[in-house]
Amino acid sequence: MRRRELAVILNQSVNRPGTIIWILLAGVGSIYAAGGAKASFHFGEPEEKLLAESDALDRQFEKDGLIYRDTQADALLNRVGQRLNAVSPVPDRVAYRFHILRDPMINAFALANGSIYVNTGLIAVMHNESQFAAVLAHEITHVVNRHEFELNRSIRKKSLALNIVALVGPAVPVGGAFGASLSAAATLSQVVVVATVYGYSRELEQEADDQGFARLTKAQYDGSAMPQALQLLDEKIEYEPVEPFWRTHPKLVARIASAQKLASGEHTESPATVSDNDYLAQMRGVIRYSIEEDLQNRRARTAVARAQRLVDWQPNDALNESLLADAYRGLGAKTPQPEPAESTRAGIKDDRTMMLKRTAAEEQEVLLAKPEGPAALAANRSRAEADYIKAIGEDPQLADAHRGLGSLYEDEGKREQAAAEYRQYLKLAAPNAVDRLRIERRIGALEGAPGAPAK
Amino acid sequence: MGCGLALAEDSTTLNEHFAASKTPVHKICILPVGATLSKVSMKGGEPMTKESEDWRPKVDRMVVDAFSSAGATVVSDYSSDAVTDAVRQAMVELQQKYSGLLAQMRKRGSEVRKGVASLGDEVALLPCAAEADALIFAGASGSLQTGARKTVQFVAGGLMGFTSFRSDLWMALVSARSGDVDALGHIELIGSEKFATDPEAAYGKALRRQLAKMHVGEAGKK
Repeated sequence: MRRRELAVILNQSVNRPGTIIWILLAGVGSIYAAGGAKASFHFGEPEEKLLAESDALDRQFEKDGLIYRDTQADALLNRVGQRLNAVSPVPDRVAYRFHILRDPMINAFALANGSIYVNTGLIAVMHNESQFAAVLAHEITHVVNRHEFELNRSIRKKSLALNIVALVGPAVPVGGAFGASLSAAATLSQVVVVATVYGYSRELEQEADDQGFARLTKAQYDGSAMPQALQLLDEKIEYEPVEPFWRTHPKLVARIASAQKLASGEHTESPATVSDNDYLAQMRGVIRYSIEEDLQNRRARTAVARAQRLVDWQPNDALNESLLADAYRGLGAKTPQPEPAESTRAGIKDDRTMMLKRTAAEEQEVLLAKPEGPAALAANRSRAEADYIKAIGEDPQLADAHRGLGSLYEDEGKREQAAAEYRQYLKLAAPNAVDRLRIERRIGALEGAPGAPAK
Repeated sequence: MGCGLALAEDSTTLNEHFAASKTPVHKICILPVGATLSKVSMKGGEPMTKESEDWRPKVDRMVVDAFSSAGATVVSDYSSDAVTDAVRQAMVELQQKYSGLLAQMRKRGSEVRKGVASLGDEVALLPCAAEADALIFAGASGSLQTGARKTVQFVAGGLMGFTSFRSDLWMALVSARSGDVDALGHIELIGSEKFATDPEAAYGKALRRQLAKMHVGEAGKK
């Protein structure tokens, strides 16, 4: 069943998914006592099945290699999570576990069994611990208030021929890492997919915002972090094939206004002192990883923005500088910032076509054919070279910078220089570096017959 | 309400250069095969978690056996867990890149024919690429109906109701050197649930036909 058919059944505006009216969940909001979970909750067969699905999904994410592990990031995630959980008793049959998922989509979600997942894309867009806590507080509220069980019951009650795997297709049409967590979830749990893409209901999402805010302030975080976090979610750097409900439903502007009203009315006594610096220090591994993820998924503009943030934070860090160079090289003939024409309907449609129907190489051909294309390419390459050289100046032993510079020279047809940088990379890289064979082959191609294609 | 109807289609698209060169493929590296089953009941569709977990190794075995019986040597079968974290991560990223590429190849088969469908030299991130001729990416999906749903479908749709059983197997043969998709195979089964219980019986013959077209195991032949 395609999105349009689902939208008709759910009385949803197809063009504006943020205005969903969930007939399915009418009246559900009233069953929740203000401020928290229901007094008792009955676990029938559907609930047991959902818990089993949640456990299976935990295993599947692990099996698919989607869990990202970083000592510092995991420590922060768990510390914040436990601090928020301490505000209220743990519901029955819930064991809170916090994980980071390898997925550039700006998203977080919770399972009925208490597993809470935050995508690398979302971590990279937050600025400090309080904003990060605001996101977690929202998700924890979904768990405490059993929202997933309610959604599950509603989906099961209606005779909708939902083929969740088919539903995910239009939602995450490009494959790749973007939305990978959603694609994995589609094989096991329709509830996660529906909740992520369409949200629970306006009422339940508002409840999660309101009670999440209360949890946030009770945990001694500054309440103003919630509207700040929502504003950061409204990032519009490049076309995304799917926007989870987080950013559309209820309309994000209305949610931000609602959160600002809450924040202006309630003040946390002695809120925790948090700094952007501390957050970046603990999450830099994730942010660096997310830059590489973005580059592999044709999100070079996002990679530039993330890398620039790291460079602004620590200007003399060679690895940050090298990542910024990678990002500029990844742009090719694309400008670092969207052009005004790209924000129009026609522009968005063009971006969608480019992402869904053209390969990366074809996209670059189209960009180069435009009058400004060659100039943009030259500027990006020049910037990348300068950043690589700066990184190498800061740390001559940084293998990645030599590899990046080698790739740049190879792109430019400078075969000897490229081979020299690649050789330097192999000298500096670990003996068991996973890309050793790849670089050796590139050197072989560069030093092979004249005119032979390098890569 | 059982039925023996089983319509099968299979198509093989070859990269023109690969087809013309007739390069034999006799050492292969198989990436973990994806396989998912879903159920369509009167209440709608839902994933079949346990059944998918049981089905996956059967589909994987079928693919490995098909290549072995065609005369290919399986250099590595990454369906086991005995890989390092770095290799596992490289494999995950490569599979994700493949899933994005497959989404486009399914819409435009011409990309495979013209040789523009490629994973690039990232294939060299897998240790087996040093020895293998090709990497194999395969994935299967299938939807089954419950008894009640079958009855409704038959009553409502007649024999056409049985077309609701459906499974697809996509398989790509990717050069371990260049990362180009040298061949893409697709098998579609409609009207039979056999694929869920006995994938070898359901897919096997069609798969072996495809491997022959893909020059698999033709070492020494001219």
